[in-house]
Amino acid sequence: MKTNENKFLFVDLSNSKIWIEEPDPVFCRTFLGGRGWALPYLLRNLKPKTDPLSPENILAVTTSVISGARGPAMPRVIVCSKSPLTGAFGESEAGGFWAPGLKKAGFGAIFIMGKAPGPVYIWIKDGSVEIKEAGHLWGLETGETQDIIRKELKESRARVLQIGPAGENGVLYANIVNELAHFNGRNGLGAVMGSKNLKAVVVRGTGEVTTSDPEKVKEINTWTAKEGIEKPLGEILRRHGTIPLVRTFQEVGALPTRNWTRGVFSRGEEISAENLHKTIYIEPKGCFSCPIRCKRRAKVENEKFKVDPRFGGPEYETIGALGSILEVSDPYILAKANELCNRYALDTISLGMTIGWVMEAVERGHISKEECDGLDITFGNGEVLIPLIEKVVKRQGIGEKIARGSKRFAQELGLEGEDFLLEVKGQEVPMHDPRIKTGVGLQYALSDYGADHIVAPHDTVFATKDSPGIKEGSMLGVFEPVDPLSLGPEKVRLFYYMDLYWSLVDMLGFCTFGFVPRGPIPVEMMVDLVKAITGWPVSLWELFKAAERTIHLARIFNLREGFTPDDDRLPKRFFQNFNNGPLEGKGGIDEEKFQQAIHLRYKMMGWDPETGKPLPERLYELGLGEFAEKN
Amino acid sequence: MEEKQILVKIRDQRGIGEKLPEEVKAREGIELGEFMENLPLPGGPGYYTILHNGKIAERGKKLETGDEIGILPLSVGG
Repeated sequence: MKTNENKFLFVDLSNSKIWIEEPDPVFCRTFLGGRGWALPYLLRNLKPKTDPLSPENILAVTTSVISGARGPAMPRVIVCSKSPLTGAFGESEAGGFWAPGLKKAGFGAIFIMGKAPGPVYIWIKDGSVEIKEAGHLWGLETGETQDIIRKELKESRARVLQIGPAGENGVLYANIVNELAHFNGRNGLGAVMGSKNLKAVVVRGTGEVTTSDPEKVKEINTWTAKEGIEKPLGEILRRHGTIPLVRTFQEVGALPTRNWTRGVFSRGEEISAENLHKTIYIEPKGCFSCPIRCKRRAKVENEKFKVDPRFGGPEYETIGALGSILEVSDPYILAKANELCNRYALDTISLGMTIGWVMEAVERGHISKEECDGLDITFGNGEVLIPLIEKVVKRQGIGEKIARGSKRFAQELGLEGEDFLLEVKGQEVPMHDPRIKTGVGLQYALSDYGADHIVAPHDTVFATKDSPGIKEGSMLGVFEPVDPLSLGPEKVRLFYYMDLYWSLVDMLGFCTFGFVPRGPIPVEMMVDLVKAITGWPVSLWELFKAAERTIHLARIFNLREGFTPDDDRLPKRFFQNFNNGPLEGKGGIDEEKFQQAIHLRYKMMGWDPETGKPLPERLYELGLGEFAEKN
Repeated sequence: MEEKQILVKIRDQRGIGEKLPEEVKAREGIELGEFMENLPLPGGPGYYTILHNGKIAERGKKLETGDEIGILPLSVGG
């Protein structure tokens, strides 16, 4: 079977109703995929203020107009819904193999609504769809679930997108995972799936996704495999993944340490790339059709721990959130904690940051040892991580409170105004310090789905005339270096352009590490891939417009949920100076300048500078008149 | 007139490519930006995080004998 169809599959789990719709090709081209396909449907069909964990919430599992073709760095499945963690629009991307599987089976996206009376999974094979009973899988961790599903379907190559016990139990930062090691993390979309009694969505597509210009796709693949991976950004990712950032940030003085009170971790060497390669990492693995292969895998077999490499290995974000944030440096404990989180499908950033908040609350005397169920939840005590993860997943004792995230825990104790709570819109901040990259700060504040590091500009790649963003990214329209610490109009403009660019990358299911300025593949090749696969004569301008539509639609989604400009903010700690290391006494972001930058961004977007509401004329310009009238 | 030279220490922490020498000679008065451009760094210095005596480097700063340049991977996110 040859296909490049973008059929939308609808599954109402409440009444087992299944239907298929063929979206208008103009809609597919105008919105491309991912959140572009999800947001119009959610805005039309999801009532404002819907409880994210109720049957009324809708889970959109999507690919894009190019998914499934054999291009480089384009494996991602994009899941969208209303987030139970933030109450805002929720979105998350994962690599792996599932998205190509869905496309090869003949579908572009699945919209899942309702709630099954008991546990089920959805089985999709080459255009046929079935809802299957999953009572025997409920409660199992992800590895067992995948093994059983493949065995009972007699399909060793079935791709299993699933939740673990964290999602079943409604942990508000539960993940969705495919191939046991590729996570739709952040935003708690695994809990949405769990609330629908949906254990997994399993696909097997034996078709071939057709492309309009296979020679061009082949040419870009060959370039990536031969030249791209030899370029410095490609080579670092291939050899070391994201983990070298530990040393970079440690030496700069901005490694998130001890719940962000320090920028240097005294035992940082133990969690460096060099030591993790010596102790826990084995050969890496990659995603569908990607030669970069940046994913780490960990294997441990010692007297204390056994860590199975099927569940991947800790990347930079996990080593930061469970390591330096908590002052835990034992690689074996970190590998085991990561494996447990992955077996249970739990977001390591929110988990680590919430535990970090608890550790500081204990240190300040707000939480007693008795309230910690007798556990010694203090900085530096890595031993506590393993029993604590079990408690969080089972929602037992203090684990129940940690399972709801740091903001809710702080609110319960009347501590939400304190400087040691580091979240935005209810989502805990990732491991990049905005005091050395102010564009990341703008992203944390402005992101539709709470503090996020993926769509951020990462200012360092635009810092000098020979930085990759300036040297190779001229197609993005940034020709002059921008100071990583500035908050002037040039930074807001950079943020605006990169918000479009990385949103586009996400919508199309591309990997952010594939393309300039974060990865080796030139921007023009990205455009060429879209042209060669779809046959549409698209330009970067047209693609940017598609991204811009979704940024406006996500904004509308959040405004109708009650979010206001007060939610576009940065945690207090980032307005304070660093307390140790090379940046001691420096770094605190100027709060007034930050607010001015936020307001300037509203204006650049064509949003009301006071209310942050998209103005009707902008929505009309973007072809979103329907939403201008409802907004 | 003979040009005076300085000796700059290099700490290559890139983790890729051929390791740079631990010490490099340069002309006295050279600015860090020019010094970096002369190093055989794939892509050029902008593809790395550069530290000068343990702090984020400033391109216009003049180098002196015994100064240490640290070269680390760039923070691209992730």
